[in-house]
Amino acid sequence: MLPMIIINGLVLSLTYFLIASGLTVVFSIMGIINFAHGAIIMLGGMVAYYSFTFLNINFYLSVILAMATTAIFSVVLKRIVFDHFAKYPLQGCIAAVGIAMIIQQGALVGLGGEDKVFVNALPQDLVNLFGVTVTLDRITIVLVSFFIMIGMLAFLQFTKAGLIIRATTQEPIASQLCGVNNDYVSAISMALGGALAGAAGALLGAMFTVSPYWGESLILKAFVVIIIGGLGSVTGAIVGSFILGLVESIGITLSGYVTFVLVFVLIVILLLIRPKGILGHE
Amino acid sequence: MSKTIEYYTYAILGIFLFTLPLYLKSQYFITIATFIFLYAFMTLGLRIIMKVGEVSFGYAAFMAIGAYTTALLTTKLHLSFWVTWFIACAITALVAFLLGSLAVRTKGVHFFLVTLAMGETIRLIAMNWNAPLLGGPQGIYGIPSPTPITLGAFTIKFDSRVAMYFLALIALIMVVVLILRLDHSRIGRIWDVIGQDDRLAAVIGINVYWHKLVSFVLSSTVAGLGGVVFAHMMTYISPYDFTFFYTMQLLVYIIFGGMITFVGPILGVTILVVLAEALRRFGQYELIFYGFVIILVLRFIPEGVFNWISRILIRRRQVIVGPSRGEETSHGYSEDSKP
Repeated sequence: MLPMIIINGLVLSLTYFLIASGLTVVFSIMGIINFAHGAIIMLGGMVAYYSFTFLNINFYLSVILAMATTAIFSVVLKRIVFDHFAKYPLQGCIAAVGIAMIIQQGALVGLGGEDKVFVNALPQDLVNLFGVTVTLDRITIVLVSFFIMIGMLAFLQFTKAGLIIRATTQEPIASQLCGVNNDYVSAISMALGGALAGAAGALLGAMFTVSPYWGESLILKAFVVIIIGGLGSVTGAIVGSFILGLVESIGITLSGYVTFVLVFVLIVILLLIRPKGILGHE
Repeated sequence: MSKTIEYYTYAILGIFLFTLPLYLKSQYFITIATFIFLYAFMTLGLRIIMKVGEVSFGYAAFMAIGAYTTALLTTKLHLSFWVTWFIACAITALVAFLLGSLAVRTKGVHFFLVTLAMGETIRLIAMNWNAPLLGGPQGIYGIPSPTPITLGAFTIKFDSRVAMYFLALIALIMVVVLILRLDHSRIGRIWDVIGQDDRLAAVIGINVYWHKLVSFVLSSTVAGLGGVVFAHMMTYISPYDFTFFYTMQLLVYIIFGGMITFVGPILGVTILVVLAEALRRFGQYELIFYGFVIILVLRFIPEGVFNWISRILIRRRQVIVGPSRGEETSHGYSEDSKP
């Protein structure tokens, strides 16, 4: 029972981390909630699907290709749309909704509405892990996401770009006074968010299926993660996704129906204690 | 605009809207007009909470509470519509009070996220809990149209499209009167202050928590009323009607129209609903064009269409009359979205 809860919880947690981290990175620098994030995740999944099935590129290379595509796409999006909404955050959110509409409907028109399946990208063998039978693709995806998570933390913690991003998150004006080019930093954060969305799309797409309006269902989970962890902090996203993943895993094991009640009770208790989320800041 | 001209405009507009079904025979246009009225007062309800500077994303869920309450009372208990709409609004207000007292503790983006979670949870409850009663994902079928009223020899029936048109129009007028009273009252001014800077409001002695809670309850109650009209108009409701994207759509209308006065959201609804209908012949490409229009309009007039028009009109008058009249005081909506 316990190993099963933990392993399922890990799979769910890392999935949620992939979805939520990009959103939180973009918010922490740009100050807008990117409603197009779900659409960008879907785009990443589509890129990985086409490069894997039609171009016969190795799956891991397809993931990297998807990340690169969505990163470039996000930066372009920032340059042509979000830059004009710097003074109007709410209008920026609505513009992001418009972008999501265009991307999703564009994918439906251009690529077709059927589910894109590429579960054969990863080995499907069954592995016995601590008495629990798990398919090998889940383990691979958990490992890759874990690698991405560590890489991102290391990037934020140990590189100069990461230092600048953290500084800009905390004090945008002060960091600008220290000679940081804020525009450049937000381009980097947008690229980072896009790359994380691309990775999420490619990896989750290989686990489930990809369809044009797939991202919408994912992004709601990302919001729950963000509520728990606190908006604008990557560690918060990690903590939030692990809590949500483990709670959902417990809920699913006990009873399918209890899950969402558990999550809600959790959120309400959290709200009463810490309205900003566990690691959120003012 | 002086007061008399303003009242004449309202009167003429009211007469026009009430007589519209006489010369507009097409059922199609009547249905579109009904939807415009429904969306218009729903956006006005959302604007109430936006006055205090917050955006509630659980708005559609409160609409669901109103819709489900009236649907259950009319289909299971066979109560009359004229009783149930009031009960539905009261229950929505009660739930909004309970949830709001938690949600209002947060602000800005956190408020958005918290109300979103609450809204989605309410929707999930409607989807999963007690399927024989709430119908699960299928929802509730066969919601009756409002019961006829007998006034002596006359009987007013409510089973046609035109009747729903009038019902939606009357609901819209009720909400517009409420908003007008609110905007010009002391409470409305207080809410504007809170919307601009809630710390300043707290410093000058306004109970921010209480005012935000009242505006949240009021806004959600309007959503409940919207749900009632929606349920009886569609005769069928399901949890999929009340997703977070419905709130998003209403928010698009408000921002598109501009939210300083109550005319802006109504104008936004009218333009965008008509635009969506006009784009329908592009089939699959409809949403793509729609998205482009929203982005482009907000890119060039971020303050909303109505404020843009009124700014142009004021500038033109100043050119003719001279600048003595002074600019219209604009108490803009400012959201601290960056914590």
